[in-house]
This record gives sequence, C-alpha cells and structure tokens, in this order.
Amino acid sequence: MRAVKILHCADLHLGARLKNLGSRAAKRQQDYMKTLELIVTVCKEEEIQLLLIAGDLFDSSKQSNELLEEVRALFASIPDTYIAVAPGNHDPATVDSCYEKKGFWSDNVIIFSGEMTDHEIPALGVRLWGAGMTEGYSLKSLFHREQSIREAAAYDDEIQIGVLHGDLISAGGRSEYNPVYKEDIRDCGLQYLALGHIHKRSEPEWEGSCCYAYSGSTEGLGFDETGEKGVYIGLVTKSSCSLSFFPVCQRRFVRCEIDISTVTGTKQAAAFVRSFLQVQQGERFERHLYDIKLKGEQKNIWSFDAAAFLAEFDDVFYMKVREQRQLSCDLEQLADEISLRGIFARRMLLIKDKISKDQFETAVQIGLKAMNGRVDYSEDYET
Amino acid sequence: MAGWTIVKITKLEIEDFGKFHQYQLELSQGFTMIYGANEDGKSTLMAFIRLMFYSNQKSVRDLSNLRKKYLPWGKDTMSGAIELMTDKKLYRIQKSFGATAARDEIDIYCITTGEKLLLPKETEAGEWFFHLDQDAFERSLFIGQPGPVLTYDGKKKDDIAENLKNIETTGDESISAEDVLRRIQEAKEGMVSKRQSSGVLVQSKAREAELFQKIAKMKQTEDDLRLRHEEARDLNRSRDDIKRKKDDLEKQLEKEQEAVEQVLEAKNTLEECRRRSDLQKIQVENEKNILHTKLSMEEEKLTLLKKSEPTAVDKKSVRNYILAGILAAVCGVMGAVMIHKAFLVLLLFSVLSGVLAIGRLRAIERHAKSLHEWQMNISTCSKKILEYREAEEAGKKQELLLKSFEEIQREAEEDLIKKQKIYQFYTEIREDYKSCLRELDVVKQQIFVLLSSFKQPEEGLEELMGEQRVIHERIMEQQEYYDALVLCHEIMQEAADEIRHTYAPKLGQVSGNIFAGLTKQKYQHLLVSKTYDISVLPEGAQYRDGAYFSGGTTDQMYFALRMGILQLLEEKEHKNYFLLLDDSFTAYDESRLELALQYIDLYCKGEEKQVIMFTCHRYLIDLAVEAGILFESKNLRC
Repeated sequence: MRAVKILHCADLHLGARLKNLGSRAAKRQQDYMKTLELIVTVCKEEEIQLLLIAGDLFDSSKQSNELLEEVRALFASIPDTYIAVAPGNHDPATVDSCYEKKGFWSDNVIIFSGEMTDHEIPALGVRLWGAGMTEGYSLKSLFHREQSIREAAAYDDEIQIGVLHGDLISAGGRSEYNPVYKEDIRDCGLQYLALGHIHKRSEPEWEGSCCYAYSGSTEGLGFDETGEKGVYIGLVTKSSCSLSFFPVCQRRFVRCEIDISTVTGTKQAAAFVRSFLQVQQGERFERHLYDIKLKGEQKNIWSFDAAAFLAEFDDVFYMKVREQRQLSCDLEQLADEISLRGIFARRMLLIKDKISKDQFETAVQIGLKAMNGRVDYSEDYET
Repeated sequence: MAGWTIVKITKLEIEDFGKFHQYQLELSQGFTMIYGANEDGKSTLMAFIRLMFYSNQKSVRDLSNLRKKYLPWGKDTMSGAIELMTDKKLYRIQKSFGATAARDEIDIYCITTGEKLLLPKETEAGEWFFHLDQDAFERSLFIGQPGPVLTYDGKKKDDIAENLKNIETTGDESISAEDVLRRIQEAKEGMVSKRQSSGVLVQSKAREAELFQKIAKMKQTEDDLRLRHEEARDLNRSRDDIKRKKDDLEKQLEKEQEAVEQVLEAKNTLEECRRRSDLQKIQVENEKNILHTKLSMEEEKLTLLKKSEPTAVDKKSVRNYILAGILAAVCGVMGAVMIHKAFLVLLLFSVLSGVLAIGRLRAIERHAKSLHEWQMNISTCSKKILEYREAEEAGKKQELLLKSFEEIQREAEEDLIKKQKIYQFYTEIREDYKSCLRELDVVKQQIFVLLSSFKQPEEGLEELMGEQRVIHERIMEQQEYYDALVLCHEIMQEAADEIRHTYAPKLGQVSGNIFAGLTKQKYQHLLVSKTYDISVLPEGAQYRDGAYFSGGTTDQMYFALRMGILQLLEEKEHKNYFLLLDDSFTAYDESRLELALQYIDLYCKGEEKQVIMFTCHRYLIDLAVEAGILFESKNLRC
C-alpha cells in the first residue's frame, strides 16, 4: 500500500520580536531559526517526503531580506522534500508579502493562497489541498471545498492530504481566524488534515475517516506555553494515519511553585531552588526560561532579597521570581493576646464572614507581617 | 491566688458617728450579708468606713459634705476605729473626725507588732494601705450604689489608671502601632500615592489605558492596511482586465493593418498583371501576324515542292538501277568466278548503277526530307498559330478575370477608406487604454510605496493584546493586594485606636470574663474607655454602647467592671482585697440576682476573700439561702 512520510509543523513565528524577554530577545530569535534548521535536518535524515507547514511560519508578512533568504535557502537545501505552506493570520499572503514574490521560492515549495485549491504531486501519489489566509482575519471558512475533495478522493487511489491554518470549532461557533467546522471535516475525503494556529499541540483525532491534529508551536512564545514543543512525523496511507511526536524546541518555558518553608535565608533558597530544578528539569536545566513562585509557611519570615537570589542564577537563560511566603499563625489563639497583634487578629476574625476568603487571608498576612517588617507589594523580579 | 495575702476588715468600732454610738461590728472572711432597713444606718456605716480610710472628700460624686451629714446630733466630734488585717498583720486605725479634714486625728497601730504607724504627710490611711486614692477606692473595693463607675473628668490623676498601666500589654512593647501603621501606609502609597499620581497600581492602570489606546489605534491602522491591500488586489485585477482588453485590441489592430497591407499589395500585383497582360496581348498579336505570313510562305513552298515530287517512275527507276546493279554484280562475280575475270567489269557497272541509284535515292530522300521539313514547318506554324489563338482566347479570359479583380480591388480600396476611420478610432482607444494603464501603474506604485511605508510597528497587535492581558491580570492581583492593604490598614487603625483609647485592655478582658460569669453567657469583650464608659463587643463588629442595653444589663456590666478593676489591682499587689458592696443589686430581677449571688459565692470559694454586702432587702437573704449560697448574715442595729 502506498504511503507518504510527512512532517507536520506550524506556528514557527520566525522573526518574532519577543520584547517581553528584554535582553534575551535576540538569542531567543536565534532559537527559532535553529528550530527550523533542525526541522530541515530531520527532513533530510528521515527522508521526509512531504513537509507540511500549517501557517504562521513567519511572525508577520514583512520580514527582513536576510531572514527570507535564510529560509529560502533552507527550503532549497532539501529538494527531495515537497514543502507545502498554508499562510496564516500572522503571515498572510498579501500582495506585498514574501509569499507573492514571483520566482523567489525553490521548486519544491508549494504555497497556497486564498481559497482552498488542490495541487497534485504525482511522484508521491498525493493530492494536496490547502488554503492560505490573505489577511490577518477571516470570518469566512476557507475550508469549504470538501465536496471537491470527496469527489477527487472517490476516483483515485491518491492520498488526499490537507494543510490549513484555522480555528477548529463546532457548528454554531464563530471565529475570526478561518473557522473550520468539525462537521465539514467528517468524511470530507481527506486522509489527514494538518492544522495550525493553536499553539498547544493536540493529539491526533478522527472525525469520520479524516485524521486531524494541531502540531502546536515549535517553540513556546511565553509562559502560557509551557512544556515540550515539537512536530508530528508519520506515515499516511489511503486507509491509515500514524503519527508520533518529535520534540524540536531549543528551550522550554517552565512555571513552578517551590515550597521554601524549610529554608532560612536567600542564599539557601537559591541553593534549594537550584537542586529542585536540577531534579525536575534534568541536565542542562539552565537552558530554559523559568517563572518561579516561592511559597511556604513560616513562623518567622526572613527578608527575601530578590536581586541576590537571581544573582545566583546567572547561568540560567531567563528567570523571574516572586516571593509569596505566608506567616503561619493560629489566628484564634492570637486573638486572645492583649496586644496590637491580638486585637488586630480579633477584629479580623470578626469580619471574616463578611469578606472573601482571599481578601481575608491577604489582609491577615499583611497585618502580621507589618508587625516585623515592610509589606510592600512584591512583584516579579527578573534576570 | 496562692501566695496572696488577704486584706480584710475584722472589726468596726464606732464611738460616735451618725446614729451609731459605741457600736461594734465584727466581720469575718467569706461572704457576709448585713441586713438593715433603710434608716438603719447602712449608708452611715459605709460612709464611716470610707471616712476612716479617706478624710479628704474630694470625691466628684458625693456632693454633700459627709461630715456634716453624719456628725452626731449634738456632738462636735465623731470617732471610731477599724481593725484591718493586711500582710498577715493586724492593724488598728483610730480616727476622730473634726469639722474639716484638717481637724482629723488619726492613729494607726500595728497590733501584731505593737508598733505605731506614722503616716507620711498628706497621705491618707487608705492610700497607705491600699495604694489607692479615694476615687480609686470607690471604684474598686468600695462599690457604692450601682451605676456607672464615677466618671473621670480627665484632669485629675487617675489612680487606677496609674496602677493598671503596667498591666496593659503582654510584653510586646517592641511593637509600636505607629510603625506598623506606617509600614502599611507606605505599602499603600507604594501602590497608589497620596495624590494618585504614582504607584505600582496607578502605573499599571496607566499602562493599561495606554495599551488600550494603542490597540485601538493599531486596529485602525490594521483596518487601513487591510483596505489598502484590498485596493491593491482590486487594482491588480482591474489592471489585468484592461491589459487583456488592450492586448485584444492590439491584435485586432494588427489584423486590420495586415488587411490593409494585403489590399495595397493586391493593388500592386494587379497593376503589374495588367501591364503584363497588355504587353502579352500585343506580343501575341505580333507573333500571330508574323506566323501567318510565314505560313503562307511555307504553303507556297510546299506547293512548289509538291510539284517537284518524285514520281513513281522515278522510284521505279531507282529500283531498276538497284536491280541492275545487283544483277550486274552477281553476273560479274559469277562470271568472274566461272567464266572470266573480264566479267568484273560488270561490277563496275553495278557500281555505277549503285551510284546512280544512290544518287537518285538521295535525291528522293532530299526531296522527301525537304518535303518533310516544309511539312514540319507548316505544321509547326499551324500549331503555333493554334497556340496563339489559344493564347488569344486565354488572353481574353484573363482580361475578363483581370477586369473582375480590378473591380474587386476598387471595392476593396473603397472599403479601405471606411476602415481607415475605424482604424483611427481603435487607435485612439488603444491610446486611452495605454494611458489608463500608465495611470494604474502609477497608482499601483503609490500603493506599493504606501504599503512599504507601513513600517512594522514597534509592537504588533497580537503583542499589544498579549501585553494587555498580562497587565490586566497583574492589575487584578495588585488591586486585590491594595484592597487588602486598605482593609488591613483600617482594621489595624481600629486596633491601634482600641489600644490607645481603651484603657487597660486587660481590664476589658478581665471584666468581660467576669461579665460572662455573672450572666452565665458567652464571653463578651468589654471595652472600657478612659472615662470608664463601657461598650460591649458582641458577635459582630459593632461595639454596642453600654447605654444600648437594659438597666439590668448595664448594672451587670458595671459591676463586672468594678470586679475587673479589683481583680487587676489584686494581681498587681498580690493581695486579695475585701469588697464592700452597698446594695449593688437593687435593679436586678430575680434571675440576675441569683446569678449575682452565685457569682459572689464562687468568688469567695476556694480562696481567702472577704465580701461584705449591705442590703435593705430581706429577700436577698432568703434568696441566698434558697440558692445554697454560703454566707453569714448579720443584722444591722444601731
């Protein structure tokens, strides 16, 4: 049975400016390019026949000539791999975009633009279906030629594969980014639909006889995108589809809460956190980007020096830390004391039922901490 | 309390005071109820006790001059003695009262040691024994009529306050309320400054507003950009349309041009044909004439020839010659052979015949040849003439054809003139198209310039919206913290106020306990102000002013307060003081009375305590008996 080996990726966002990373932005931009290089290398080594890029390859339609040339060269370096690009909402195929440059891209690159069309690849026995966004929004669904697909599918033993940047929703839903209705996918005739736009990878699922998945972004773009990022590699035949996840990201975003109740000072906290991360993240944990919240309950809260703490993590690519320890106390017991603290505790207990739990606890913590030290709002402190 | 000594009154001896004359009353430890009807001298006794300990009647409440009131009728002096046990020693205080405090004389003896005590100047006995001035005494040990504790005017030194000052806190003196409040305030101002012009929260909100504007602007820009892109696309489409039309037109014009050229070429060709045709005609004519002439000449010749045609005779003679020759030859040869060589002369004969024959033959041949030739010539001529005739015919046909062609040409040329006009029109249109295309190209260029001038903004819309989300979350967090700071500050302020204004908070606690015991209810914290106003803090945050409650409850509260004061004093001095009650429960209903008596019972149990209660209500004693209270009852009798 004929099979085609594919690599499905999306949302590479090359050229993103990453202002939120401050001085690290430049290095991180390099990461994105390295990831694409890795993907291309994998294509060579794994003899990938079809590389599907489901949108947002670039972070915007206008990129520097240097970057474009790099990408063009990378694509051209794997002439035995067909590369299908479906422009997304970040890099739509506008008239002045790099996708409309005539004669720029190498012959193995197929770029879809506008409504869904098909492209035959006889050498692979594949008929490729794709659409490309031509502007940043698309209220209308570009996936609406399913009938044509079905017709094509019925008569050939061509493998039908689709690539699209869009928002998968149920009937009645609405999206500004090329809504793709699940009902339309079902039995549309495609064997596999490579989707892009959602940065969180989804497991391959079936809707009728069509297998579909979001490969997720190839690098996290912020702390709301934690975990391993990568691509799907697999085989698609007329009757089956088997994919496996292959991680490619250079660095991960990691969020963790670490309990430092047993720690007695800033330096010790740093050491504690370091060994914690080493265990949790393994070798080369310092590659990644961290959002650390220091928690815990202590009877005596020693003063936390964020700057000194972070100075112990010069080797880590990026770290931001927030100290959120609580004073442990028995409020009821405290309320019996004849002292400012006691009276405060008593009075707080009296209004406990009138306010939210969170506000109660925060106010109590502030009051108790204020007995010994400052209670300024603590923000994230970053490297 | 273990290790505390009791301070009790053991004996009252009145020499002369009010209606009392040489009166003795012995008092023991524990609860003693002294019953006396209204005029029996209860108040007198109380006053006596008070005066014994304190001469100076600077009491705020007591307006009347006690001395004058109790000065025995008909006497100038009052005197008496009290025996008091304190520090495990028995003392006897003897005093005689003059009209004024200055006239008092007091002697104090320590019976146990036999020593006489000399009071320091200006020091009252009560001050010496109890470390309390009169007001304090009246607020604690000596509970007169029920009601609020004597109000404090704020100017005079409050002895109780002095005494109780140290019992205020549990040793957290290092915590200054001011410092704590300041820290909270600073934290607040760090988030929202006094003038709301700076601070973490203020800045966050400002940034959010800024982002909001930027996003709106960016959206506008993106909309514009999208429009431009659409325009560019439309423009491209129009341009392609027009280009197609122009190309079609060009093709058409080309065709027209070709047609014109064809017509012109046809004209030239036709003219050439005409010329040639005419020329040919003339030629043909000439040739024909020549031929005719030639033909007639040849025909003449032929006639001549025919005349000189060799006859049959001539032909016959040839034959004869040949025959003769042959014969001669044969004879000659045969003769030569057979007869004689002289017959060879016959050969000569044959030769001669032969030559003659040949000559003749030749002449015939020649003739025939000439004949043939002439005949050929004639036939050639005739053929040629035929040909020329045919040529003539063809020429005629050609002429016709040519004429019709010329006709067509003429029409074509007429057409051409019409076509010229259309051609002109098309050319104009083409020029229009061309200029239109040029304009379109200019606009396209402009649009492209505009599109490229849309610099990639510093922050893209997605970035801005992402930042907006982040800021919004941060604002929520910060607002929560700020609200908590505000709340905390409020509560802390209240707590600090409570500490400041509440005089001896411990008193409130202690009194609260007593009050709870007295009312057999849940503990309610009593707040005592510097002016000894009480408020109660029941469930709920609002303190209720003492006046909110019924008289009975208020009495209970104040009773509890006095008991509280007493308790604190005792804690300070490590002594159990006697307690004098002057009908403190007149306003109580039965249930409260019972509770009060039970309280005192409990109070006295298990420790060395002395409680002396004067009452004019018999039922109190009955009630006490019923309730199983342990007490000693005495009757007052002057």
